[in-house]
Amino acid sequence: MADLKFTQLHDEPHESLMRDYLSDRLDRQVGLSEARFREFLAEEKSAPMSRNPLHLSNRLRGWTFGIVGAALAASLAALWAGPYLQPISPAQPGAVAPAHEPTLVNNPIVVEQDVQSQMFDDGAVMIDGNTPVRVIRRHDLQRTRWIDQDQKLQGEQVVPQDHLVYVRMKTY
Amino acid sequence: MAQTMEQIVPTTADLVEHARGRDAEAFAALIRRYERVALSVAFSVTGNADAAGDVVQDAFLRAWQRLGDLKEPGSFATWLCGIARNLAIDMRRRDRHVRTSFDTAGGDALAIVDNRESADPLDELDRRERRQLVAQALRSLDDVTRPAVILRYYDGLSSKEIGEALGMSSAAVDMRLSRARQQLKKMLSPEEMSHG
Repeated sequence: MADLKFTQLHDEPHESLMRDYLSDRLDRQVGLSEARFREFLAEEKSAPMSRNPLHLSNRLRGWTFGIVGAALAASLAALWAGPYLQPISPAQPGAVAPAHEPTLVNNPIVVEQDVQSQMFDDGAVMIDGNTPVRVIRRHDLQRTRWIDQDQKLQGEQVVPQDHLVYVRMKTY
Repeated sequence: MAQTMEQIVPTTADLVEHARGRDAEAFAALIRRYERVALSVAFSVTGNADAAGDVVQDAFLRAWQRLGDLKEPGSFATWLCGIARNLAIDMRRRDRHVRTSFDTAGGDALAIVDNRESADPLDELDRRERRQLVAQALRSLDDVTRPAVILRYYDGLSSKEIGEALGMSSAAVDMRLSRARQQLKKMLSPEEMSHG
């Protein structure tokens, strides 16, 4: 396609205007796709798992399903076992309180989750030798906390994540 | 392969076949060959050069990852333009409050350069007005004609090549370009320019 260029030998004024306008706007973008492609290849080569957002999201998805699944199972267990674990009130006439009163199970696992984000400006770098870009890094800390009231246990898991954004800088 | 590529110009279908075998240099050659075409299509939708550039970069990455889906290697341009157009439409929906279609933001950046070169602010004002008129003229075209016009005037493609890229017959392209030329001539005539 590139070797069969249509050329207008006798441009009318409005056609020259159109050509100039489009060149002014779009010429700055030419070459950036190849630079981006090479950058993508380099990222893929250096860190195929951690830099691939698809893999990362799959891992996070699996982890989230694990937490939700555990919480759901515990809730169902509490619902199922709840009626059998009700203490017998000693106020009732004729009733005898057991020696070891079973604990009433309420919310056996509480899951608390939050994400802390920080933005860092990692400065300007050159891509492909002639394309200046500013590297913005977003550092996320996803924190999840469990509290098992029944067993007096608590747990915490922290998952750090870094997202890199390249912002093309204009050159004048 | 490198030696062969230096000696003869490989066809698009050849480059696609090599790129399917994860030959990054073959795909880079496809990018160089079709970047302006994709930019034209994306710009015709977004009306914003930076947004079009972002769209085209994404479009090529997507094409690289999905080359296996392309049935006819010779139809790479049509396929790529489809990807670019869809991504551009998505971006226009998403960013419509951020980046205005055919706005003057890019023109303002250029104006700084122009201003340094020309001492006369009136000249600069005149240039800016002309840019706005061209942007208006482009905006006035319909969604099928606009990419055809941009492909003709920016990338210098023939009607046949434009038809291949946009999935139209060359006769249909000719008809649209002919009408567009009349419309643009009227909108960008010196009289129109002088009246603003």
